[in-house]
Amino acid sequence: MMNENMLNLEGEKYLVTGASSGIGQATAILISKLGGKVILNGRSGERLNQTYSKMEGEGHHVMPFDLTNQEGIKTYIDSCLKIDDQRLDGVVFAAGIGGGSVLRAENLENLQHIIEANFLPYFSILKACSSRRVLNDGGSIVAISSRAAKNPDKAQLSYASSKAALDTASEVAALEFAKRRVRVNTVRPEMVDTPMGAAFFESVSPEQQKEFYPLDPLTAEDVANTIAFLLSDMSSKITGQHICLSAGNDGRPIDFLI
Amino acid sequence: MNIQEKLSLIEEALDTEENTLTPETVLEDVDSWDSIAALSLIAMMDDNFGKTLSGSEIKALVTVGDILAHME
Repeated sequence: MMNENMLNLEGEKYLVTGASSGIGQATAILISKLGGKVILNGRSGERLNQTYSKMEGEGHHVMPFDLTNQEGIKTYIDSCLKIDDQRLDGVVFAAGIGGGSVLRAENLENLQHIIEANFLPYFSILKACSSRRVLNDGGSIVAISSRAAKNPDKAQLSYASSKAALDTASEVAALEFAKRRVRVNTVRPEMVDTPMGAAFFESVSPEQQKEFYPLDPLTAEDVANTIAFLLSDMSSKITGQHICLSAGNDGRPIDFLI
Repeated sequence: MNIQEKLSLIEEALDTEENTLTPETVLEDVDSWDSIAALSLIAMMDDNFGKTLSGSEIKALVTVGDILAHME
C-alpha cells in the first residue's frame, strides 16, 4: 500500500504536555489535523482553551495540571484515561522552561528548579507508561530535548543537563518497552522561534540568523512535523533515538550572547 | 490483605490486565512474565511484605500460587 497515508493518526489518543504555547501547542494542533485526539496539559486552563480553539476534529480534552506536583501525576494520568475510558497511544512531553547562568552566577536552587520542571515529571510519566493499562502496546513517546543536550553552550549547565537527562531516560525506557513495541524518542531542535526562543532571535541580525541557520530558523510547526512522524507508523522501527533538527547549523556555538 | 488484593498487586507487577490471574495460572503462559516483571515483583514484595526474593526463589516460581505463598 505505497500510497496509503501513514501519517494518519485517526482514532489515536495522545497526551501533550506543555500544550499552552510553542512546540506543545503546535503539536496538539497538528495531531488534531491528522485525526488524533489530544489531552491538553498545561498549568492554565485558560491558555489551554486558546490552543483548543485552534484545533480540528473532536474528542479533545483540556486537562490543566501542574506537572511539578510529582505526587499527583499518577492520579492525573488516571483521570486522563477515565475522561473517555480510553488508554493512551502516545505522549508528547513538551513541558519545559529555560534559564540559567554561567557557573559563577548559577545556584543550586535554579538547577533544582529546572530539573523539577524539565526532567522529573518525565520520569513519572514514563513510569506510568510502563504499564499497558496506561499506554497501549505499539504506542509512541516523544520528548522535546534540545541541541543543548549534544552541544551545550556556556550558561547552560542546568538546562543542558536537564535535556541530556531526558535523552538518557528515553534510551532506557526504549529498551524496557521494546517488547511491547512501545517506542521512545526525543527531538533535539536548534533555537526555535517560540516565546522561549524569543531572546535569541531578538538579539541577532537577519544576516547573523542566516549564517546560523541557512535553512531558516525552526518554527514550532517544523518541530511538530517531526514529532508527528515519530508518533506515526512511518517511524515504526525508530526507538531510543534523538532526532537533530539542525536547520543547517554546523554545530557552531550560540554563546555569543554571553 | 485478602487474596484478591494480593492478586491485584501481582497483576500490577506483571503488567497484565486486571482480573486475569488466578492461583492456578502458570507463569510461563503469561506473555509479560519476563525479567522486567521479575524485578517489579521483587520490588513489590519488598515494598508490601518486607521480603527480598532471591534469584533462586524467583527461578523456582511456577504458578501465581507460588508467588502468593511468599505474600504473607
